[in-house]
Amino acid sequence: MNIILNTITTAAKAALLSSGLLTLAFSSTQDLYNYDLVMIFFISLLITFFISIGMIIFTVLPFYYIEYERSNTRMMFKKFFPYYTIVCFSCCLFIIITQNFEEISILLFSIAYVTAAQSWVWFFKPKKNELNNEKTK
Amino acid sequence: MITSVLSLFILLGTILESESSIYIQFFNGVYTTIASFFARKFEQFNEETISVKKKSINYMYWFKMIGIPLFTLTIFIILYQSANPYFNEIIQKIDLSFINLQWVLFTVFGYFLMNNITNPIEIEPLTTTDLKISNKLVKNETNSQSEESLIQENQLGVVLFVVLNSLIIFFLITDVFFISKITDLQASDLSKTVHEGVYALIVSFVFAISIILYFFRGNLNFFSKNRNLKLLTFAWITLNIFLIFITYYKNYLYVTHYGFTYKRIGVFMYLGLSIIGLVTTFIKVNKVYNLWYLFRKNFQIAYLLLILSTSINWDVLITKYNTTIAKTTDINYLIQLSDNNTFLLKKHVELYPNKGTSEETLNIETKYLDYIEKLKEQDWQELTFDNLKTY
Repeated sequence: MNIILNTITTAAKAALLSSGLLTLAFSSTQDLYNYDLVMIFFISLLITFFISIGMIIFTVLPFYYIEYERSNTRMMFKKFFPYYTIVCFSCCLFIIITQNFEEISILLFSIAYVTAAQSWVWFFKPKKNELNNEKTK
Repeated sequence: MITSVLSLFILLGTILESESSIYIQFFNGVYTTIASFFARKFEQFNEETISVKKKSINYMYWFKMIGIPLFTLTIFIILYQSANPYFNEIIQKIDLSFINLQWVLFTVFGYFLMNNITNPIEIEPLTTTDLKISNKLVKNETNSQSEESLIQENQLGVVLFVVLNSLIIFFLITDVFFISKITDLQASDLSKTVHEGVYALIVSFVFAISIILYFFRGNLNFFSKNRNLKLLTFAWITLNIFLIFITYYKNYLYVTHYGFTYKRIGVFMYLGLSIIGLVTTFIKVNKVYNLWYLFRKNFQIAYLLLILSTSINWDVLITKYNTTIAKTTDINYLIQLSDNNTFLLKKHVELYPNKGTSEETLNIETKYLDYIEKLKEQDWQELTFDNLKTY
């Protein structure tokens, strides 16, 4: 697995997903013009891309490096993803509760959770050559 | 609400794997609810062969089939709009404001949840490990302690439990003596005794169970000369239970004088759970079970108690007890409880109009009128038994 390439592509996909969701949510909650929404989309794309890179480096890659010599991506995912999602969901829920269930915090942290979980799927998704190798084994 | 959510998670976990421990069922339920969609999607990537994958989802094909015609259609509509005023008028009349994006997002979220719940998935390594571990403690043959070290540990245990038993007997005697004098004490003294006593008990039970678990963690359970140690442990557990009963009695005295509050009910609950914890520790030592047995049984019993406690109308119970049995009644505390006790408080004021202050009577009247108003405004879906009382 090419880690740098995988990190960048996963971060790009995560940024697209979160920016798309954010723009969609803003268009339903705020009275904005199309021009504003396009601006929001591109600005959030830029911000979330860097946040996603940071998130992958600090919360996904450590798990990868713990296990990469011992097992394949599938086993890594099965081993760590459940705990990661539970912790991530609990943190997001905790922040939403401390913010008194404010609409904006529900929106932001729901998107953050969905993006974080989906990033794991993208990051650990087996590549075509890995699938081929497994098939030939 | 907490119990309902907890029960939903445990139900989902039970559907997945009924043999696993209750806390594993809870974690499986949480995982299913929040992440089943993602985990199944990941599994799909693994299970599909490349050829099947290409056949099943061809994104480029769908982009061409939907995206290009949609884009072209939009361009031509814009062009025709400026070319023909009648066409423009018709297009302008198309009103898409009925699409509420918030509602769409809410529905998508609901679909996500239902999709997760109807396709449960378990935390595989955790569930498999839990199913493998039985409740019975197995003798460790590979890393067994030497006979000499077992004798030493047994002796240490005997000495420690003799000292602890002596101390707790002495403490119990002084405590019984203290209770016999308790009638002369003021409310603040009684409150301090009960609360500080309970905080100290929390620490002492944790220590007690930890010490027992330390000595009976391994091969000392199978040591032929451990009879005295076991007897002393059982004696210590029994004396601890006796200590709980004394604290129970202190809390009972406090409640009969000053009535129930949620905190005092919590003390009773805690003491009940402590007895259960000690009894399960007794069974663990007697039947040679492991630590997992303690976790499994105690979590099961705690969950059962939580379920049972939700079936009691606590506000009504507190109000009934405090207004009829308790020697003094804190009406202001009862007023701030939920609406469930409104009719009881109203009845109390009618029966004893001169018992409380005028301010308390006024507050009860206000609470009553507000509640009646609220009941009248309720839709048929919200009707409760209290609605019948208003007619």
